[in-house]
Amino acid sequence: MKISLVSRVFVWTGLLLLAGVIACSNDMPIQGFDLSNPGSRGVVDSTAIKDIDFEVTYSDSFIPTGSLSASLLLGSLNGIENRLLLRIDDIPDTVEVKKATLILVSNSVVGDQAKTSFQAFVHNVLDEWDEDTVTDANFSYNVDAAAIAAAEIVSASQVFDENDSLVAESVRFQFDERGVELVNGWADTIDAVPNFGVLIDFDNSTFVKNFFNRGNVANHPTLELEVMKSTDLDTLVFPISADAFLAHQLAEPVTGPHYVDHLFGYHSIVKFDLSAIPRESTINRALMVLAVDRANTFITDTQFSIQVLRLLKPFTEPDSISLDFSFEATVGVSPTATTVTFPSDLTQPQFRRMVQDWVAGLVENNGIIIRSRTPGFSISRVAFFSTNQSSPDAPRLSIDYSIAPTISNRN
Amino acid sequence: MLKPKSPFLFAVIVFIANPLLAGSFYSSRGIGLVHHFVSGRSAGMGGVGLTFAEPLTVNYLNPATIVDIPLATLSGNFFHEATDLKSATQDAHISDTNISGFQFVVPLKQGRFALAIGVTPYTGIEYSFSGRDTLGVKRYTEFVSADGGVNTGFLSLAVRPVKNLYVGVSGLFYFGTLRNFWRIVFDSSQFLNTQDEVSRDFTAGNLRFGFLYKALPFWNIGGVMTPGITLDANTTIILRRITEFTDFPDTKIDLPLSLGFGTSLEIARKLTVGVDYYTELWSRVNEDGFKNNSQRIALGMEFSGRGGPRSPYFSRMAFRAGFFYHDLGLVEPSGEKVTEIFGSVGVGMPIKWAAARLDFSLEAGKRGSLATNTFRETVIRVAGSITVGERWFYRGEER
Repeated sequence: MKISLVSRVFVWTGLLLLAGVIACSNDMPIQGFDLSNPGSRGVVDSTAIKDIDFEVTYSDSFIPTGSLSASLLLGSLNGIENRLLLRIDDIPDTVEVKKATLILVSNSVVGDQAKTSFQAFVHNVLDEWDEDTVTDANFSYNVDAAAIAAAEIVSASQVFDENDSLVAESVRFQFDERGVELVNGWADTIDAVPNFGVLIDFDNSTFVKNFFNRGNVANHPTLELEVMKSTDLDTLVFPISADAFLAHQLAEPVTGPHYVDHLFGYHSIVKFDLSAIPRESTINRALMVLAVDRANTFITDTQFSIQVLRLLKPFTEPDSISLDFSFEATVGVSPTATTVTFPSDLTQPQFRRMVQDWVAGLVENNGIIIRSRTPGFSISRVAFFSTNQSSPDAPRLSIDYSIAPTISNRN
Repeated sequence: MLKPKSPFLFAVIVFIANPLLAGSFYSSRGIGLVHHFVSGRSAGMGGVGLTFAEPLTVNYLNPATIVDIPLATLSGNFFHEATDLKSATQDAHISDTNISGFQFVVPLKQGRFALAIGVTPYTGIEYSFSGRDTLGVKRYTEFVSADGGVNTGFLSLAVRPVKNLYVGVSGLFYFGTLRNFWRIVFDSSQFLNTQDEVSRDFTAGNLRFGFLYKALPFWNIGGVMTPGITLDANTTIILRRITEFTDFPDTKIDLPLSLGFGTSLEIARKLTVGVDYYTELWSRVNEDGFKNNSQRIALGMEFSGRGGPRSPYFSRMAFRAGFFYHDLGLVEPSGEKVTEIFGSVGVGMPIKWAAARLDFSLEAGKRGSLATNTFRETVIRVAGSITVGERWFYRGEER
C-alpha cells in the first residue's frame, strides 16, 4: 500500500503541531510550603565564621617613598621620624649664585599641634641616592654634620596673605655662605662639587608636616637663587629634580594586632576555616568584618585605602608570596572607623566570588592578604584585632549562603 | 513512499528532548506519577486494553498482542493535560503536553512472530511551588519545581506457539532524568540569587512478560508481569553560573513488581467490552510517599460498525467509553491514600487512503480529595494517537 504525498504532509503537520503545543503551557505554581513540603528544597542560612586556620602579620620590606609617594613628610609622630631628601640638578654654570633659598610649600599638618613649631636643618648629602628606591634602610645617612640652612616649621599649613585670604604656608630655608658656595659648586661644570642634594633633618618634633612634592605642578619645592648677571642681580627659580622622605621607625609596634601600613611593608594574612559550609552551597553574600584596634592605629589622611587579595599558594615566607590579582576588594578606613567591612560596596561580586570559589573547591583556600593599596602614601598604620587579642573582635567572615537540595540514598 | 525513519526519528528526538509528564502535586512524591498507557484505542476506554489484539491496535503494555498486527506499523501518541489543583486555601494550575510513547512493530512472520521497538514514559514528575520567606534581614521568594521521569525503551518479541495462545517478552531499558530545581530570588541586590538544579540520571534493564489467550473467538484473557528492579542513579548538582558536582555515590530508585490481568468480550461483532486490573507492589519498595500497592481497575467498551473499505465512513469508525478507579499507592498526608477516578470517551477514525487510524480520547476525573488529601486535582486530558501500517518487511501469511 502506498502512502501519498498528502499523507506525508498530514503526518508531518501533525507532528509539527504537536511540537508547537508542547511549547505552550501556562502554569500557576502552588503557593507556599505550608500545605506540603515538596522535598527537594535547599536551606537558606547564614553564619559568622570566626574559626581561623592561619593568621600572621609581618613586615617584609621598606616601601620607597620617592617617586612612588605623593607625600613629603618632615617631623616625628607615633614613633616614626621623617626626613626629607631633595636634589636640584641642572643649575647653569653661567651664573654666580649670591643667595640660595630652598622653598617648601605646606600641604597639611598631622599630629600633636600643641607645640607650635620645631626646627629643621638642611645638610649636604655626601652619598648618592636614587629617588625611585631610596628608603630609610638603604640610605647611608652620610651627610655633612654642619647644617647649611635652618627654618622653623610651624604647625600650620595655611596662612593669611595680605588680602586676608588663606594661602598655603611656605617654609624658606635660606642657605648660609657654605650653602651658597655649595650651590655654586653644583653649578660649576669645570670644578664641580658632587651634587647628592640635601637632607632636611629636624629637632624635637611632635607633629609631622606634609609638603607638596615635586609632582604638584603649582606648589612643588623650589630652589630660589639670587644670581649676578653682568652687573645686575636676578632671581632664578629651579624646581626640585628629585625628592623623597625617609621614614624611620623607632620601635616595632606591639605584637598582637594585625597591621597594615604604607611605609614599612606591614601586611596581614588571614585564612578562615570554611569547612562548616557545605561544598554544594551558593554564597549569596560574603562580608569580612575587621575590628579596628584604635590604640594601635593612626591614620593621618582622610582615609587609609586597604586592598584584599587572595593567596595562590600557602603562606610560608613573605618573599615567596603569590597573589591573585583577578579578585581585588578594596575599602577605605576612615580615621575614626571602629570596624571595616569588605567589600565596601555590597553589590560588587569580587569578594563573594572569592569565597564561593573556596567553598566549592574551585580554588584552594590559602587565605587572603590585607595590605595597603597606596604604598608609600603616608605614615598611617591600621591595626586590626586578631584572635590573639580579643575573641569578640577577631576577624570574622559573615556569609549568607544557601545549600543545594540533597537527595537521600533512597529517594 | 513515506520514509519510515523520518517521522520515527522526529518522534524520538521530541521524546528525548521533552521527557516531561504528569503535572500534579502528587508527582512530587517518589519518582512521580505512574503513567498507565496501553494504547491509543484504550485511552478512550478507561485504559482497558491488555487483551486487545487487532491490526491497528499497538499495545504498549502487553507485548504478546502484537502478533496480530499484519503490517509493519508505526504508532505515535501524545496528550495534553490540564490540572486544576484546589486545597482548603488556594488554587493552582499545572498543564502539560507531551508525547506518551511511540512504537514500531514489524511482523516477521504474519500471525506467528512479531518484533517491536518503542519508547514510553513510565513515571513523570511535573510540579512547581513558590513561597515568600524571611531570614534575618533577607527577604526572598523561593521556587521549587521538578520535571523529568522514568522512560522505558523496549524491544518486544511475540510469538503464537499454539493456535489460541500468544506470548511475548519485552526487554526494557529504563532511562531518564529526574530534575529538581530550587531557586531563591532575594529582594535585595546585595545577595546573589540561588539557582540550583539536582538531577539524577539513570539507566537499567528489565524484562516484561505478557500473554494473551483467546479462550473463545469472542473472549480474550491476558496478563502482564514486570519484575521489580532498582535503578542506580547518578546525581549531579548544578549551581548555575558557578559550577557543578558529580562525585556523589549512586542513589537507588526502586521500581516495584507489577502485575496486570484483563479480559474482553466481543458481543455481536460490533461491541467490545473489557475489564483490566493492574497493580504495582509499592509496599515492597521504599519510595517516598508510596506506602501501599497501587491498584487500578478499568472498565471500557467500544462500538464499531466494522465496515469494510467500501462501507460508509461512519460505519468504520469506533466509539469508545470507559472509566477507571486508581489507588495510587501514595499516602498524602501520612495515612491518607490518594485515589483517582476518571471517565473517558474516545473515537477511532480510519484514514481512508491508508491502513491507518487516528484515535482521540477525552479523559476527565479527579485525583485526591479535599476531605482527606492535601489537594484535590481536577484533570482533563486529551490524547491522540496515529497508527500507520505499511507492508515493509512483508513475509506473507502463514500457510
